[in-house]
Amino acid sequence: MALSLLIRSSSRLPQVLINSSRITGASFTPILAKQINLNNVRPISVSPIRQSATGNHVAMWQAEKALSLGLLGLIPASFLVSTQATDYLVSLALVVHFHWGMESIVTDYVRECLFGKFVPKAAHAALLLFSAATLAGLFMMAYNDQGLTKTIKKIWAIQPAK
Amino acid sequence: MALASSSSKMLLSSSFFGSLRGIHTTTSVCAERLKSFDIYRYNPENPNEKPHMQTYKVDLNACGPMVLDALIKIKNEMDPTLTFRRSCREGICGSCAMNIGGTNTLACISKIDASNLNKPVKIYPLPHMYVVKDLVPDMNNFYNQYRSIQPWLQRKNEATEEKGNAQYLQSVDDRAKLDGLYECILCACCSTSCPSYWWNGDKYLGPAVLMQAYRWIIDSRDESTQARLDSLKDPFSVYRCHTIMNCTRTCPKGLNPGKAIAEIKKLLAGLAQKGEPGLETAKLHKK
Repeated sequence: MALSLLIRSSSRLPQVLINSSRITGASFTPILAKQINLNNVRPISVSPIRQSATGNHVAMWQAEKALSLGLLGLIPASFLVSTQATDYLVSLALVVHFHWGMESIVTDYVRECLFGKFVPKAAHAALLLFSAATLAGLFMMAYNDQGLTKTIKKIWAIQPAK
Repeated sequence: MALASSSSKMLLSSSFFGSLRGIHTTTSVCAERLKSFDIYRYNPENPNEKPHMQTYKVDLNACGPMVLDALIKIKNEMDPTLTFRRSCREGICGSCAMNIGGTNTLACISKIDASNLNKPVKIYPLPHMYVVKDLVPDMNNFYNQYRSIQPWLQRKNEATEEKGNAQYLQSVDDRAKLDGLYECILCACCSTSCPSYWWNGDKYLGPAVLMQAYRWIIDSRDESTQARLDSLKDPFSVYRCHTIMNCTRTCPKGLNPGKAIAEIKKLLAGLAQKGEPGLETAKLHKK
């Protein structure tokens, strides 16, 4: 009796267990008593247990803010000067800025609790690859061609066909 | 004389009851002002039944002005199974935090919109929390996070500063730094409005807890400042805050958790310093 009361009042036990015992009907308590050793029933908490996070993010935050601030001056300056050196610099700064922003988004949305252990790591790797490819492309443009800022200036100067 | 006084008494009493009756008739004559309340229902004892919305119609003429009044009226008079937390009914306990009309707020201090009777009041539990029943969310994680920041005064020389013998001193300016922080009632409206807390609530502490963390960090009497900051420097505890500012927008007490988090970030990055206490905190303990 005490057992059946306990089970009925506890919504923590999987419903299947209770239902299946109902279906088999006849020997309700003995079957349950045989199947479940109550000491072995793991208490299920609906609250996620606080995971401890480790590491030091302070330097990262400082770098992010410094870079964001630096870009405010670097972007207009690189358009004014438009040399190969500033093109390298602005390409690197932009890609790193973009990468850190995207990394934060991946961390927020591609989480272990939703995707398991593998996918979040793969997403971070894919992002790293994507950023690296972008940086390589921009560097190639600066090395072999006229560079990022001059290209943007040229695109800007395109007139509609008359 | 006696007759006159008794008749005047009668007159008084009859006019008194007359006016009482008058009040009664005016309420009953007045047309009903029915307002719909769409309320989220979930009963864990019927696991096969999905959560659903249930509509109750409440006559605003026979109901108090606040949403909590309506909820209590529904529970008392229509459906005793409706489950919600409430206590102080004046915005100081934080029990009745829920999502009303899309905003996290306290039911006891949010007025029922009586201007448009056709528009139902939609009431949900606090968003992205595990629901225990109806409007009751599971607050365990939130409270555990609050516990994790050690929300009490910590001194280095507690052995020499015997409790109850003398006060700790705090200058007026130092005390002023706690204004806008200590008023928090931990209703969790801000934390549960924060997308970062929705996605990473297991590791990100959330605005309410972080504002209390800052409240103890900046307290001139507390000496565990560095340890407190060190426990927050990982990538998740604080740095999942992306200054979305839903917290400040929704706070039913008009506080600014977003600013407190920014102050923590400034302290962590060394862009701001706590500063020395204006008064020698333990001076009275030394005599």
